[in-house]
Amino acid sequence: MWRSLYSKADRFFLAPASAAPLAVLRITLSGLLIVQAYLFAAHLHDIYGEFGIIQAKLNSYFVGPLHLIANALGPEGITYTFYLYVASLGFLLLGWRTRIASVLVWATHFVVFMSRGHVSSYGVDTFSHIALFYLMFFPSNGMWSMDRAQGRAVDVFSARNRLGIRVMQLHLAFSYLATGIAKAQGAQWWNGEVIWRATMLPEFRQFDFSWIVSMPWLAKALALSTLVLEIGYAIFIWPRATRKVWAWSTIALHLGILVCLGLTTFSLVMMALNFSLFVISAEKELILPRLALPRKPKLA
Amino acid sequence: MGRAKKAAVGLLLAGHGAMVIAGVFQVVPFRDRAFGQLFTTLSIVTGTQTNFSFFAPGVGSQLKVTFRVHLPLETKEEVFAIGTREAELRIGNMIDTFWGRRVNEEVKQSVAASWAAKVFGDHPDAKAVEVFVDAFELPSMVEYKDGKLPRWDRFYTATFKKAGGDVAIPL
Repeated sequence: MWRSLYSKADRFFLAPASAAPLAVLRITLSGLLIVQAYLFAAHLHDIYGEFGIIQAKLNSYFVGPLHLIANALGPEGITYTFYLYVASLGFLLLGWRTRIASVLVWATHFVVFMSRGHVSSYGVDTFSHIALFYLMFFPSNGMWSMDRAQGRAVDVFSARNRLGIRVMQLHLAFSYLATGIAKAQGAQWWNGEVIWRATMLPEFRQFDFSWIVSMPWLAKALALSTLVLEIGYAIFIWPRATRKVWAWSTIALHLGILVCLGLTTFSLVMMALNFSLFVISAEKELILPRLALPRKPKLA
Repeated sequence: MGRAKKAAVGLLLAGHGAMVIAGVFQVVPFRDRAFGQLFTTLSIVTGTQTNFSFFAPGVGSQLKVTFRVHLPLETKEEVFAIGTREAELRIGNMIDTFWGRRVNEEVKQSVAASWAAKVFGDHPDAKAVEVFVDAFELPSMVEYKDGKLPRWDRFYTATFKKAGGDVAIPL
């Protein structure tokens, strides 16, 4: 029995897999994080500056010992760290010296968002940080990268690809389960009030959803279906028969959050994680149509 | 991959998985000892500290901060200038620190002082800044249907006067 279990675990974690899922994750995540950085770059000093909205001295109270890392950089250090973060994201997007780029992106993301920006961070930073952490250890340059084009990486089915995909899949599945269980403990998720509150709070309000009071059953149905989707994710994302349906339904949920609550970057990062890890197949080669470029005429 | 390497990778992953689970349940072994601090630091660094409690167990309320800036010739009402949705969400989170679990009156005053210092920075000639924090009171669906309307309730006020030089933060 142990031998059979070992063999199953071995196949689950180490059966050779395509490089496509991790490459898609690298490209979508780094692309989104570049856009996100652009969206608040103008407020860099307000949010992360030494004399920003929450001053560095006060930030240390909320962050604990980790503030020492950001504080050690000095007043202008956070600006240079941010520039390095964006530049490293560019290299990660292109897949140029991907391993070094991924370490730099993770480290600078940590300093800016988790250390100095702790009090302003939210779900998008949490999940980005988790994904960036794994991208340091697993190969994401096997496809669509400069490393591949310049011969520093190979596009092969490998055990490391599979291990990377599995570890991230498990972390994602566990996080949905945990958040689903945490939500299920609140009465708002059972009576639909959560949908009413989320859509009516000025911070999240994108449209006038006040009409939903005349259809409380709809608010309740939306809340309950979110619980089913998140708690069920840990089970139904694995069987081949339900994987695509669950992954696309979860992507649809995040699309709904994007449109109705305006949590754009968070939703896009979650959609990228679901798409790359569960929709892109790790079992077969991904063939994209090639551009038919005209050949240069040979000189005589 | 050889057996020894597989065993090492398996052990690392098991340890990492245990930290993910500990993060969800907010468990820190030997919290008050050096090991506990090391564990906490490692879990933040590796991204395993989170309990994924977004919108859980429910959606709370929201805070709004406004300022009354006393300039030499006029008095102005202001809010934090926000250009994009991404910046708005982050600044909103900074404002929400105001009712965190670890925020007592002393910390509230420090946070308000930090906000006021920002306003003084934008208006070097301001003599005083009043800080107003309002909480959004949203009725339930049933109450709203019965005619009760959402409103902002005053939650906190403070006044900071410039005594020359920078505004000091109490903490």
